[in-house]
This record gives sequence, C-alpha cells and structure tokens, in this order.
Amino acid sequence: MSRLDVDARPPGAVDVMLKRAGRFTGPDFDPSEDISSVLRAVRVLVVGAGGLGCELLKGLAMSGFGNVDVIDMDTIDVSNLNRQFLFRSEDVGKSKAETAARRTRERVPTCEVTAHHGRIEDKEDGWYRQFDIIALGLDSLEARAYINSVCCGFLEYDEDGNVDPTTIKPLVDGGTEGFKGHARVIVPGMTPCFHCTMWLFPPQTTFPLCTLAETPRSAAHCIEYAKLIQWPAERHGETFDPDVVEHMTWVYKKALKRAETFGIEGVTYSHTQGVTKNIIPAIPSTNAIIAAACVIETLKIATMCAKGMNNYIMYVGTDGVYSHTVEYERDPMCVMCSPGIAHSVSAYATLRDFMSSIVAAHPDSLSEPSVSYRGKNLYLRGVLEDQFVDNLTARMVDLMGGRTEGLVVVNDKKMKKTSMRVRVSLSG
Amino acid sequence: MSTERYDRQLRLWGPEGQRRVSECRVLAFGATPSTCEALKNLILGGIKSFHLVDDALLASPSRPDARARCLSELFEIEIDAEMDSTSTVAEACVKGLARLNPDVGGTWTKSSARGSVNIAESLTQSEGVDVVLVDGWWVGDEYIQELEAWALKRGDVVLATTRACGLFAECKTSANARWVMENVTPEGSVTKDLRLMNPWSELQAYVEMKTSDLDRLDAAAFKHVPFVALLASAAAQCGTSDRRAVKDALTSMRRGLDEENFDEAFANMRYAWTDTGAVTPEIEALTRDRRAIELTAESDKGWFLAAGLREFISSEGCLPLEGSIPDMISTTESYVELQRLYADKANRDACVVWQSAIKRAARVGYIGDLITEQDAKTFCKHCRHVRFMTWRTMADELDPSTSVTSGAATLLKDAISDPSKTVSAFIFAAFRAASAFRGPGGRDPGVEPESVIDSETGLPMSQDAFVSRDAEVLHDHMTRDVLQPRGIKLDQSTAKIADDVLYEYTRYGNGQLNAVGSIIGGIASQEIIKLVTRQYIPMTQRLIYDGVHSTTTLLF
Repeated sequence: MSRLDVDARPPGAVDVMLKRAGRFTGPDFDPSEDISSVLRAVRVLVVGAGGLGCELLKGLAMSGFGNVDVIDMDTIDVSNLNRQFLFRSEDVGKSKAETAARRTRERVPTCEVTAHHGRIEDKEDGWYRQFDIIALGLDSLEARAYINSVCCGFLEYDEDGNVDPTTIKPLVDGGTEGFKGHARVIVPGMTPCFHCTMWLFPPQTTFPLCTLAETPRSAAHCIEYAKLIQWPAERHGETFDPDVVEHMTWVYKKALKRAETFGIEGVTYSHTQGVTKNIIPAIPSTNAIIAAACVIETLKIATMCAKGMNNYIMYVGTDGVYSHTVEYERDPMCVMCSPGIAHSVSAYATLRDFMSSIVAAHPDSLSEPSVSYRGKNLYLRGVLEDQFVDNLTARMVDLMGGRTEGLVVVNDKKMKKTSMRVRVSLSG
Repeated sequence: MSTERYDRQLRLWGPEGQRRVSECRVLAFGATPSTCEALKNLILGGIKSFHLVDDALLASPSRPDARARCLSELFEIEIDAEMDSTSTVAEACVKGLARLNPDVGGTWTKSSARGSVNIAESLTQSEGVDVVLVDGWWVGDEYIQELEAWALKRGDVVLATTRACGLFAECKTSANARWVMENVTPEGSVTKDLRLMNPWSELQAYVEMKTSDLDRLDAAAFKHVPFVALLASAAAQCGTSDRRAVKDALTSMRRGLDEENFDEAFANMRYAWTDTGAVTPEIEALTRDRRAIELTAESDKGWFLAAGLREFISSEGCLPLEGSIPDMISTTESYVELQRLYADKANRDACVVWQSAIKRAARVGYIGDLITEQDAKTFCKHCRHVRFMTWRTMADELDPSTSVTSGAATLLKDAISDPSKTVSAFIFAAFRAASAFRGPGGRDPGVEPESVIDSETGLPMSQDAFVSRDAEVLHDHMTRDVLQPRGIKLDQSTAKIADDVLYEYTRYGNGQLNAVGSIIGGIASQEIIKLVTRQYIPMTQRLIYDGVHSTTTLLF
C-alpha cells in the first residue's frame, strides 16, 4: 500500500449513517460527525482468530472500530487457507492472533489491533474486564461457556434483584458448521446467557468403549479404537498428536486393518482426520455471513445506530436460504446469570443445614460448596478450611447479622469459575 | 497441497463438487463491497478465474468519493507504486483479491454499465463465462434485465445479483430451470427408510434367522440382536395395525431391563407401522409431470429418471429403497450383514430405474449428457427431495407491467400486508424507487451534492432537513413508479412503515457498508457455489436482508 495516504480513515458508509438521525435507531442514539472519536473509545476483544475471527477483525476495522484485541492460541495450518483470508501459504506455522492482527493493521492503519497468542483460560478474569464488548469467533462449546462464565461473574445485583448496568459485559457470538450458522447477542443480566440456553447445543456423540472394543460397526468406531486403545497400548509414553502426519498415518493404518478384519467399509485418511480431530466442515461464505452479522450487532451496541438484534439468528443455507430471528428467554433460575436463586431454610438453620439443603436442591451444580455473605467468607474449602469449621454449627441468622433475608454467594468446583447467587430467606 | 487447502469444503461437496468449482469462471460487474466480498469467498473456494468490470478511477474529478469509497469499504484492495489517479478501482481490487489464492487468476476491464452485455459476450468468446455476478446498483435495474436475458440464453450460465444500501440489501439469482438431485436430503433427516412394515424377502429371511432361536441365545448374543430384527419380528407376529400388541410382543420377548437393543426397539417402534416406502404426493406429481411423460431427444436427463421412477412405482407399489441404516446395538457381523442387505437392495432398485430411463432415452434418441448408473443411484437415494426448480425472471419482478401479469405484483401486495414481511417489501420498493430517483447519471437519494442550501432561508440545510427532503421525493417515486403501476395502495399503518423505511434508506446516503456487503455478498457466493457444484437446494426467490431487525425475507 503506497501512494494513497491511508493514515486517516476516509469517511465511508458508516460515517454517513452515524451522522444522521434515523427511524430505527436504538435508545439515546446520538448522531455524530466524528465517528473515530465514538468508535476509537470502544474497546473490543475478539476471541478466536480463525474463520470467524478473521472476518470479525476485517469487519470491525472497516466499520471504524479503532481499538481491538484478539486472542487465539493456535498456529496457522494449510487447511485454514480456504477461508481464513488474512493468512497466506507463507504464514503456515505462525501465530494466528499475531498474523491476523498484523494483516488487519496493514490494511487499516487507523485500527489498533493487539494480538495475544495464548489460551483464554490463562488470562485473569480482571483482564477481560477492560473490554467494552467481547465478540466470539469460536468452534467449541467449552470455550464459549468459559467466556460466558467470566462475564456472568462480573454481574452485580442489588438486593431487589436489579442488575448494576455498569457490571454488564455484552457478548456477541457467532458459530458455523458448513452451510449453517448462528449469531447472537448476549447482554448478561438482561438477555439469556449461554447457560440459559444450553439446550440449543446437542450433546456430543461419544461411543461406549465396549462397542469400540467388541462390536465395532462403523469406520468411526475403528478409528476411535485405534486412537483410544491401540495407540496407548502400542506406543506408551507417547501422546497422540493429530498434527503430526506420522501419528495420523499410524492411526489410519491401524483403523484400516481393523475395519478390514471386521468387514467394515469407509476408513480413509480424510475420515481418520475428521474423527480424531473432530473436524467441522467450514466454508468462507457462511463465516462471512455470520461474522458480519456479529460485526453489525457490535456496531449497534457501540453506537445505537439501529435497534439491536433480539437476540438470536439462525441461518441455514442448504435448502434455499432460511434464517430465523428469535427472542429466547432467560432462565430465571440460571446459575450463571440470574439475580439469585430463591432458597428458604428454617429460621433456626445452621450453616451446615443451609449447605446440605442447597446441595440437595442443586445436585448438578454443587457438591462441596463454599459460601460467602456480603463479601465475607462463611465457609471456604481448601487450605484455609480449618478456620471456618466453627461456622458450620453457627446459625445462619447470626452469620447474616440478624437479618432473615439476604444474598448469599455459593461457589463450587463443579461450577468452575461461576458463583451461584442464592437469595436466602430464613422462615418458619 | 490443494486437497489440504480445500479439506474443510471437500468434506461438504466432495472432489466432484470441487472439480466443478475449479472450472468456474466468474464475471463481476461493479467493484462494490457486495461483489468484492462475494468474489473473495469464491476465490478462496478455488474457482478458476474472475474478471471485474468497473469504470471508477481511484481518484476522479467527477466522483471525488471514489477513492474514499474504495478505501473505506473495500478490504481486499491493493494500490501499488505503478498505479496513479487514472488507474481504476477495479484494477486495485483485482490486485488485492488475487492475493487470496495463488491458484486463481484475475483480470479487469474499465467500462461503464452500458457496455455490460458486450463485455460478457466478448469474454465468453475469449475465455468463457460460467457465472455473472452483478451489483444491482452499479448496473441498474434496466441493464440487469439485459444481462439476465443474455445469461439465460447461454444455457448453463447463472447470474447472481446483490444490492445494498446502509443496513438494507437484496440478493437474487437467475438460472434456467434445472434439476437438483445431489446432496438435497436435509441433514439429520429423521425418518429412516427401514421398510419394517413390509419387508422384502431377504430382509424377512434375515429377521427370521436372527429371531427364530431367540430363547436359546446366550445373554451376550441376546443383547446384540439388532433392533430392526426384533421390531420386524414383533410386527410380523401380531400385524402392524395393533400397536398395543407390538409393544406387548416386544415386552414378552425381553428377558430383563438392561437390554439396550430392546430399548432401541421401543424407541423406534413407530417403524413397525410406518410405511417408509410410501409414495408422497410430491413424487407422484413429479413423476406424472407432462415432461416426464412426453420425453423428447432434448429432455433433461432428470425427466428420464423421473419416468424410470414412475415405472418402478407402478410395478413395485413403493419407492426405491434409500439404502442406509442407522447405527444400532449389534454384533459387527450382524450389523455389516444388515448394512449390505439394505445397500444391495437399494442398488438393485436404482438399477431398475436406470434401465427404464436409458431404455426410454434410447427410444427417443436422447442427445444430452450420458445418464449413468450413478445418476440413477443418486436420484433414487434422494428421490424424496429431488426437484425440478424454476426461477422468475428479473422482468417478472422489476418491470411494473410484467410484474402484474407474472403475479409478482400481487405477491408484493400480500407481503406489504403481512406484518412479518412489510418492512422487507418496502426495502424492495425502496431499491426500485431509488433507481427512478437517480435516473440516468443522477444523484442517489441522501447523497449530498457540493452544498445543500435551503431555498427559503438561503442557509445550509441541516442533515435532518436534507434527508427529509430527499426521502419525500423518494416516497413520491415509490408511489408513482413502483406501487401505483402494480395496483397497490397503502393503508395508514403500512404507509407509516413505508415512510420510516424510505427515510432510513435516504439516511444511508447510498452507502455500502463493508459488513452488509459481507452478508449479502456471502449469501450470493453461497448460492453460486450451490449452483456451480449442482449440490444442495438453491434459492429461487429474491432475498431481502434487513440489518435493522437482523432478518432475511424471501419475496416472490
């Protein structure tokens, strides 16, 4: 890029839209001539620099956002190049986050893009607090749930269950698989979080080990057997690495042999890769559509230039083009984002009574709870546990300073990083 | 290298689909976000070549916005030291886009929309054109009808058009009527073609063999009898009309409660009384279509297969077997045997259809593509979903008088009165009204001329006043040029929505957002891939994207 000076972002379509009032704008939309001052002040974190991440970075930079961070732990693979357009053949092996950030900055110098090559779990919760909006371009349910739990963990409610708006961290999430995808906006505390709508994600199929070992019926069964049983038995001490060609070839050959023994068809090298790496088919068009929908929603959240999406769009391109925009509802009992789960115990209940009764009410989320009230630990597991043992026999009413109602926060390793908010009432 | 590069898409459309993509030559009109984003996706996917047409210069005295437009809204653009202010935006885009994939060649022409058909014609002579990609704003509603007519006359050439303004956009494809039969069955289709209600003789023998000695099987063998055999046996014992009896029969066969194969049998009990080979009304209509009966040398091969299917149905009384079975608790041996049983029957059925089709083809002296056995297998496997698809022409929708005779005018009227489609219908109307607003060489609604002076006060107009003024003119055009000729009158509530949409349209000042280009260009490129690979089911209607409400709507 030379000759034409691109230091200043020339006005574009976004600028025109933002300087004029409209008929479908969001609350408190303030038309402004100076887009850069509006959008430069907003800090956006892009999680994932893959198929969606590349599109998100492009879209955000082209929309006038000036302060974007991107985090990804992966390096570039040849199979990324059919859609991750910020990467070239010569980039194979380099950090996705760093390469994507550099390419975006080169094309849009007015956009400051900071790369973080690493795992999302390695960042402190507080690190996520600095961003105004978090845009997710991920392919795993676990990573989504993790960011969701971090953001829901920021929420603070008053005793009436009203969320403190300054603690809300909006999330914009996209996901694709082949010709299908979804985009959604999550305003924790206001609209459903991931955990509220967990049912949207079908359970992953896993094969029982006895099927793999004794009655394989499909190519996938043979491949899984080669990876899960034969590899550790025959190559002990070595960890199977799906990115090492020799490892993949070994598993493929073992699987093929097993399939031949059992008269099963369909084991190919490509299928072996698909099963062992859990490969999701991906094409550039779906990523572009879904990521751009996320960019537009990010722009709406940042500027209120139009009403926000409420709150989920699914896109299916296999049979014509079908999309469905739907307003999902919060789970009022959600352990991640609800103001609190109402729970009542006897007026004479001790902390131990309370703990066993809350575990009994939520056995999926709790097993060995730690409990705090108004920022003070009532019971804490781990090395300091001894200090709190006396509290177990103390009455809740005394621990809560004589009050018969209050918000108690329960943590449990079963819930990973999230707390359960419990509105306790002591009655009867 | 290229297998690795395209691995994630090969898993969708396979090597044959990819081969078709790699031979595809795309001609694009208008270096706009929508077309460039669509091109980006096609280039990444590995098309053969692309050619971009636009006459805008990187900097031009008559259009000082050209440079800003390309730098603010086009991402894949590269301006090198060789280029100067007389270079075209098209050249800079081609240079940027070509970087995306070393396998794909790109070229450009500097031309205005007026020369579109000539360029298409001459490129066809020199290199060939398979896909025409058009920015509807750049080419205009008038020339686009010429281009479409040209494309349809070429037989296999498909055309895709996009148009965007602010948060509003539209996309439509045009193609000659065609069969779709590959990859058309929806993923996770719930009904499996098991034929347990009326099993063919080999399946009956299998069921008999697996269940005759149930009582003597040891515990492990008993727990591995495939549910298909259990269910078919129960159904055979008591007839399929008595559902209660089927359940009781299964229960009485059971030994304990931990037999997972029995759990599967209970979960799939409906197959005992569901005729999965039943002929659906859609297939009935397709095989009895006049074109499947009056076959000629020029008939599409799909009609010969449809005729073959008709003959199969009339002799067998059911559809050809689909041929695949779900995974189920079973020993490897029993499962593989069952799998082969279904696959063999499906192949035999398809072969009967194929024989009938090629016999008919020979009889009428068919001259088209070879009808292969594989064609018949694909056709039969997906016969519940294969279809012959037709597209409306641009004129049907865009030309007011043609739209009245084609029925599109009525559909527009219906869409306006359907609350879920009202906004989208007015977005369509706004695009047409904007074409009328602009006229030849004119200004687009909401685009500021050098200075905007209020004629009464002599002072510069506010943004709001300027937008309102243009929106009113646009409104007049919509009433006069779009709605009235189609016989559409608005009531009070729809008139208010029209007013809002037109104001918003004007507010955008004809700005094409990169992100909206990504969406509408993304949809266009996805449709092109479906048409080029001849897989999946293409969209035949006009799609309206409403970025305000984040919805898509199909019109006409």
